[in-house]
Amino acid sequence: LTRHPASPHMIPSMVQSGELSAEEYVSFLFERIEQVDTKVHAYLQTDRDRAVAKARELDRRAKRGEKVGRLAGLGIAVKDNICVKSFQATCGSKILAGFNPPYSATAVLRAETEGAIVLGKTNLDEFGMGNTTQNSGFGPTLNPWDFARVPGGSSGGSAAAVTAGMASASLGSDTGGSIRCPASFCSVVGLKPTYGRVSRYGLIAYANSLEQIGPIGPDAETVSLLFESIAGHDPQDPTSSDVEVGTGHETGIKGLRIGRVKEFFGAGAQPKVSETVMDSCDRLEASGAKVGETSIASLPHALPVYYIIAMAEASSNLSRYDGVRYGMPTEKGTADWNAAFARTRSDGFGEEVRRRILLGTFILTAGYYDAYYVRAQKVRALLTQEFELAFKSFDVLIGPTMPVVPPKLGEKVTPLEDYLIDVNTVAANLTGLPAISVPCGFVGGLPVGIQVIAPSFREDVLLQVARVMGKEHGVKLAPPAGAS
Amino acid sequence: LEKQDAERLRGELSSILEYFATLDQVDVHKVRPTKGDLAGGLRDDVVRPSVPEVLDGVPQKKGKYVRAPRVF
Repeated sequence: LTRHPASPHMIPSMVQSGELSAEEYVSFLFERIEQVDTKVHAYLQTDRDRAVAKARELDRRAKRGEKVGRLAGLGIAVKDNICVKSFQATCGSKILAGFNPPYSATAVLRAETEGAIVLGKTNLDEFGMGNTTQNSGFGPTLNPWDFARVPGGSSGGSAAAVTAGMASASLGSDTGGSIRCPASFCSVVGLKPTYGRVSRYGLIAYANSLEQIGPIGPDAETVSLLFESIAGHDPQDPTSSDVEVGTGHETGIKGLRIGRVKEFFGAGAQPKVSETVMDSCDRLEASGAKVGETSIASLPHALPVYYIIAMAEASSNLSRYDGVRYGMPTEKGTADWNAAFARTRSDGFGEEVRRRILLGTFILTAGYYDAYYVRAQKVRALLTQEFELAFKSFDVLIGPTMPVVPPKLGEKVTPLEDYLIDVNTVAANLTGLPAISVPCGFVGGLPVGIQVIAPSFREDVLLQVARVMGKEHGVKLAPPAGAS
Repeated sequence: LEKQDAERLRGELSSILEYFATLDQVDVHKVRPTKGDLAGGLRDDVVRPSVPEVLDGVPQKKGKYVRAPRVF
């Protein structure tokens, strides 16, 4: 193989019929990784021998006429905060360097059962805290569309691997936009499922009430296939739901009521990005949807609510990294527990992680708990009510995924300025609603994504919209020139 | 925290907390806070054999014990 043989969603049936050898396809993906990843740095680790062995096994089974699974032969990249047995799980943090998880995440096991092959683990902002993948303890990932820019984050490695053709699809996690932001910045499709849709067992926790594992792929069909394979109740995650997964029949979007949310185009949005998304709305209308304008009044408050809750949950989750039970060891012979503990954590955690632990701990102290945390949980409830109301008039809600094009690598911004670009993505995490980012055009050669949000457990509608956009609206997808 | 870190963080964290305080403008006196619910229910508390590899990652061990810095 010298080029991608077909869209990834076509690969499994080709492997089943023997038209394509899984071994040849997986080897091709590793050739791409060797050529391209020295420039992009999407992967933290890969394992070619393990992948090729699994591919050979699939080929043998296909030859014998056995069923090889709906993801057979797909090479997937897994974000490094999701456990895969036999790979390290570092979360992009020095504090977990060398940590070998004793089990695989449910989402990974389910994908592997369907014949997917894990190629490697991808880079991220440390513990998922960031929107650029620059906060990784192991160096930044670059945007394959423009190496001077960030790929978004925190699942930046997972999105960059897909857009540069170094994986058929990937798994990311999304706590406040960490799948959708890099999907937008890398011009790929990224789905954050409904809270509870995909088991979080084996996802290393950052903010439990917000995060979900989800698929990233070059097109809606591939994302749909991976999503349907990993979704569903898991006894290991009591927050996972047993609501049936709707399969993506080709129903089109005729008559679909799309609400363009005014606040998503608010202050801070680059005018050209807003225009590109508006044009996309016109095309959706031309494809048969009915587009109207709507408002979610509390949206401007979503960002502080998100950061308060995420930091509070993070400060509690990250207290387990003491250097005693796993990960970076405490220095031998250090005087006492407190000194050793402080040393390990200040050496092991990066700047942004420490900032969030400090703020989260402060927010949860007795004197401030009501003022910050409880108030935030109240505004969160208000936001949920407003979304429920909007869904009485509209089937889906829409706006730009990111208000800006990918920022330059190393651009100096204050932490607060950096948080502000998450303004459109955090609401879906606070409300638990499913949301997808779909490529919708370019501004000055840089990708722009549109975000579509649906009522709980209606990922099928999101994927329907994404399918129509991919087929009828002709936005250029992976791989970009820079990485070819 | 080193001293110069503490100085810089003081400024950064204050401006973030000021931003968080913008929530004071929202009228929430009728709203009940969001609470998590366990969609799938809790699984039964049954003892299962543990995975022996869980202790493989422990940085410092003595026999089958985890070695930690002194507390007292």
